[in-house]
Amino acid sequence: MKKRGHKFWQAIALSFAAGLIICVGIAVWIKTQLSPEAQTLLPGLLKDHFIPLFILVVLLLLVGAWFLDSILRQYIRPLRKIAEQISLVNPANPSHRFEIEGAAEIQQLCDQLNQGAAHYESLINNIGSRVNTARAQSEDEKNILAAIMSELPEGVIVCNPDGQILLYNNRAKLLLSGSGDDSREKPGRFIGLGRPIFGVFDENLIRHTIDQITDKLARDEPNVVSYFVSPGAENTLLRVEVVPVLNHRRQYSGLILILSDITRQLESQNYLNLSLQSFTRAIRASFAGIRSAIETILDYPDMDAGRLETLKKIIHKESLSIGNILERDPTLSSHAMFNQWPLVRVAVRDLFEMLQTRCLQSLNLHVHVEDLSTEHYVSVDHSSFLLAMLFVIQQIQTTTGVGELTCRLTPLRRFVGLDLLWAGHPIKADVWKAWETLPLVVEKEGLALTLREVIDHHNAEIGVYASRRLKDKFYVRFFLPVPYLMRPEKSRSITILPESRPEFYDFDMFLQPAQHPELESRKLAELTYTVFDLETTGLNPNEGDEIISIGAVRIVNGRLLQNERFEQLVDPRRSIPWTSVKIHGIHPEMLQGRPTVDEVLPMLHDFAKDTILVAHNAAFDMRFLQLKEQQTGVRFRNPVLDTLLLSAVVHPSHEDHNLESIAKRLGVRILARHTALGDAIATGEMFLKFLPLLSQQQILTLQEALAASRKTFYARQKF
Amino acid sequence: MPKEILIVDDEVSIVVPIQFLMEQQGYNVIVAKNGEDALDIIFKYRPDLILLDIMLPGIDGYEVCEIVRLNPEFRDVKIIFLTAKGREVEIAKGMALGADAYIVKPFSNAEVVEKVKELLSDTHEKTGT
Repeated sequence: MKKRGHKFWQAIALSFAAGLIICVGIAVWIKTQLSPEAQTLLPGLLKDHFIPLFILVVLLLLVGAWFLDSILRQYIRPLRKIAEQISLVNPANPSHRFEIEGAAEIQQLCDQLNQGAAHYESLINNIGSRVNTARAQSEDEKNILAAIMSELPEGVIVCNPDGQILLYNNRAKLLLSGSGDDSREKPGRFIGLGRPIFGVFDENLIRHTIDQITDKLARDEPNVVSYFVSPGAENTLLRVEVVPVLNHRRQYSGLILILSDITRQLESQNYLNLSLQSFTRAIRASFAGIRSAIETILDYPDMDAGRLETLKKIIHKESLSIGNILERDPTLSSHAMFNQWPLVRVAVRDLFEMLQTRCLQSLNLHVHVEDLSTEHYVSVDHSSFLLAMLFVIQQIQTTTGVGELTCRLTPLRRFVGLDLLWAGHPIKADVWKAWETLPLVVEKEGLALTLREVIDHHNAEIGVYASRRLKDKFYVRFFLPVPYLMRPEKSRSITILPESRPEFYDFDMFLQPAQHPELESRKLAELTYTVFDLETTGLNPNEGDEIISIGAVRIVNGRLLQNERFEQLVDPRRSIPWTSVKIHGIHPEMLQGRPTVDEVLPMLHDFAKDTILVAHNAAFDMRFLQLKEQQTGVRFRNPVLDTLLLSAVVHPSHEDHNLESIAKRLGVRILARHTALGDAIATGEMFLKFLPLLSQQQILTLQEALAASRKTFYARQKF
Repeated sequence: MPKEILIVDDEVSIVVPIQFLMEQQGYNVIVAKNGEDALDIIFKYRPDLILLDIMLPGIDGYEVCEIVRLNPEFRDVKIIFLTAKGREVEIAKGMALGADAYIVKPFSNAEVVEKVKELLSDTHEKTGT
């Protein structure tokens, strides 16, 4: 039976009341108006013909009720439906037409409305086609830009001043996450639109770089590029060039990061350096023997025959030796000659200051800087050299237990000595020699390079000494060559955006404030969502049904991102009933060897980090996730919006809020129904269409949406 | 009394000519092939001058130099690094350890003789006063 609303019962009540008033009225009229004879006549009449009269009254009442009901059905309810559906035409689904049952007038109204809708639709199309023409023109430019981006041998990432990624190319993704199978992608290094850049590179590194750039901009320096080196996917080393983006008013409005893989160059360069060094040394040693021997022979012509013979043999042997060395010929690979890991000129004062800060932060150790009277410069790669110094300090700290150190600059003739002094115990030679072969790791931040490699790259040396002037004072000295030749660094010019922003990806996010915990008061249209759907073995999470497929997509700034998706089949470790296989088409064989829910849920958690979860009939899906909390240790604390509830909020008179009906109402096509990803995408598109409808009901913020969802009728159904 | 010179080098091609050279100058020569032996000899016989290679098996020349210099008793022992490590940074590093001279291979015999004479005559004068 059709559900009767409040209004119907109100109408019934009203008619009863009306009937009652009429009866009372009649009685009063009888009493007052009719003659006494008629009055006494009346009860007699009533008594005699009680039954027919009674039947008459009941019939009248029924007629009244039926009349009211048909009015309700023919006029009132259709009008309400029309009212709701009008909002559909504008703006969600302009091709929606009204097909409402009701009285002839209602049909007429529908026809007029349909005509209006048709006008509206053609208008929209007209405007739409003009916009499309304009778009097609910029489409060409976009395509060129896209082609350039994808053809670049370097990875490019652009982010706004808050560190949110606005744009990136596939190469960047490959360099950072590897080209592995998606299902094995390591969580936590997701690169994607709207995600923070700090999830990709170490936060300290980025902040330090940004500080440097801001500094350079403030001083109006022409060359505003900064570099650092960072580990990439699959044991590679990346060089990251950072260029600021200025808007047309020359204000800092973003960053461009250019990533190149220098592992090969570094490897071949290291190899080259080492080969060259050992080559030279070997030649020196052998040659020394020859020279010394021959000079001895020449200076002492009277030496005894035996000694002469020995010396001659030495000369011969070492000559052969040199011959062999030359044969070896470290094949100098010509392309590895240029330095891909650039050294930047830096004032020692600044270097010491940075060291002080880092030591305090990472090692909780106080570094005192001895007064620097004159300006001295060195050529270093900031991050790796600082890390090297930090590493050495940490080693000193753990070996000798000191709580503070002093930094000192000792100018030598062609070098500077950067000394780290401590008071107390010396460090044995074999101990500190071992440091050189250790990889540089300090408090979880590190490089896949050893101390020796970094020192060599800087053409530097390191030694541990005892102070000759001060008792019980020791120091580690970094010998750094003084940059006497100012190599003009290959500079990139600053990128300045034109006044009208070209729309490639999402430059609107330049102006968007960063995501903060105060999500509830944020506007729905601005938030980031993860729309997901689960396929399961059955409908009873409490009775052992398991997840077999997860699909999820991201909505950023009102757009569903097609290329940032999460799709994973899950091994449920149990059988799958035939009835469910018929629905989702996932056979047990397809799940063999898939990761289990313990491995997949953490990945989903990372994918959905800091977003709002959206699902259709979310109570069902969230129940599955909650039941796994103990087992996987993963808690989904994100706010959740349910499209089923939102549909009831927006269209309360309709009763069918399943996926297909809502999709039909909103004009959303579902591709791949009953696959996790297909349903997730459909849900996402539906959700986007709900947003303007919700705003018409003054539901603009997350808080309001959650409150409205709670109120609706279906919220009473619980899993 | 003839001065004692310790040559520390594992390469025969260096040891033979230099030993001959020094003996011709009238010095007594002891030879060590590695760092440990060198330290033994130093502590036992207290040479006046050490011709020290750096790239030695086991303890290297840097350590030997450091250990000798740490001991105030051996303050007067002269140390000359004689090594193929010729980069400027390496020279700076070696000299910072307190060596008296640094000779890079290949060298001329005259160079070595001159340096040794210079350093040992100083001592001679010092002990004279």
